Amino acid sequence: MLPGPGGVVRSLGHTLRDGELARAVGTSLYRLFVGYAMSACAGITLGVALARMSWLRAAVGPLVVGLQALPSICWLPLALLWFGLSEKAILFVVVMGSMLSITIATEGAVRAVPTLYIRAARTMGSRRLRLYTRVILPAALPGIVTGLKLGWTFAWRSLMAGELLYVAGGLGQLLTLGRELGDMARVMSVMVVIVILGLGFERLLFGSVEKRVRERWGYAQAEAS
Amino acid sequence: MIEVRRVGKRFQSTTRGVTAALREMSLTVDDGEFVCLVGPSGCGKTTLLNLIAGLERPDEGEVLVHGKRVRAPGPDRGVMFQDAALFPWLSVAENVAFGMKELRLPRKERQARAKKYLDLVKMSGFARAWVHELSGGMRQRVALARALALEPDILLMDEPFGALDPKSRDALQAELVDIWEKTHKTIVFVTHDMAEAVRLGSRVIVLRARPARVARDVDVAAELPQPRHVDQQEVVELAAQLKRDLDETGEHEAVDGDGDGQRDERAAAASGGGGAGSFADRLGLHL
Repeated sequence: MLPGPGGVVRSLGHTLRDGELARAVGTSLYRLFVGYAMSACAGITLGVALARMSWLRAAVGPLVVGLQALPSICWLPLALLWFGLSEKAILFVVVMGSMLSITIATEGAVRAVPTLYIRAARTMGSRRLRLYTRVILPAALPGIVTGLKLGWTFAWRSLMAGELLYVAGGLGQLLTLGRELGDMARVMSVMVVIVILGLGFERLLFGSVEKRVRERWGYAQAEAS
Repeated sequence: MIEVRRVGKRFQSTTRGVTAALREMSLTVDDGEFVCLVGPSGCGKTTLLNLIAGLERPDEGEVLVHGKRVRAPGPDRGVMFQDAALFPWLSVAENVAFGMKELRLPRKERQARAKKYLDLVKMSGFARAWVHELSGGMRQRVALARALALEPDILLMDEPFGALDPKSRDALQAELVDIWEKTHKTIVFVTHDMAEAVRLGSRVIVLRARPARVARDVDVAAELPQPRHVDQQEVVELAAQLKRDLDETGEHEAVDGDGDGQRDERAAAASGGGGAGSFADRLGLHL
């Protein structure tokens, strides 16, 4: 049933040698980074807007919460209808799968910023935009980072689900190929790569940020976020 | 000079409807005075401070600083709150420098002032520490340095030592008076602790609640020079006398006359108030 580690490693070697793995990884990562970047920008912006504008919260808030509960892969049919079989469709799935969790975490973090900080900053002359960039966003950072981490996980998962169903390059396609060929070793080797990439980037992207949050806010706050 | 002219301020509360925190309140603070606003909770002292700070706008009347109407908070009026409100993502030195960056002071100037004011509050060794590493007293010292670093003429302080242990409170009170004597700033200090007010202020204004108004305006400096101490006989006497005055007029609220950090029980009138030659008498206060 299960191939031994030897078989998995050998299969890994094959895919590496003929460049297939490298291409797949490149495609997947490109989609991931682009999608995630859009997700993070839109997600944080919307989160801040929702936190600071109560009319927006009333109008759009429930929609955000509802849509966030939708498993990301459910966006694929819509994406394919709107964008056809294109990269845009996959990116759409990645963005919709991850953006709202970032939004919700950001909104919570910004709303939790103590009003006292804002008052103190105003007495020192901070106003408008500088209030946001120098006080509100930094104060909300631990919560926003939590949201970004979650968003990253969702983005990765949305991407893999999309690539599995919508066969067009990337690691998901390698998985499907392996299944179609009945090649268990290949399937498992690709799974290993997916896990390593997922964890590795998470550590890379968020490791140092979390360390700095812990250092500055202390353990209590870091744990709370 | 700070002028409060016939100011009114109302608040809406879900439980009590509209309440007037202040009504026809007038007050003048001259440059260089150390004024303590004391009174029970609800007497409007914090509201008054917020109006001078520009954190709130009056519904009636006006607040003027150096002849100009107060419209918004600004670095010309430094504020300290009961919570130090230091920013946890910045180091101590960066916190002190925060306002200076807003003023776009050059780096060398920022560093020089940060060092100067951290030295003044005796926190020089902690420039690179993080806020969560500091005790309450230490945080308030940094908050003071942060306010002073902008070199405002006026310092507005809202019960800044209220959350501290007695020892820290005592030390910071002494240092504040020291700083005041060195810098000749105008200080408006809000507290519910009568002894603290008498110890600190060159002038003590006792406010009464419902309706909020000035009950007493005492020139303490005239009779009792600094340095004073909360345990000093004259200070205790005067604080007790002022507190009695408030109690006599029916105030049951939280006023702390004996400096133990707790609301006082309605005690029997002590004998000190009526005797000839007592300190309170010399200031013209009688039962």
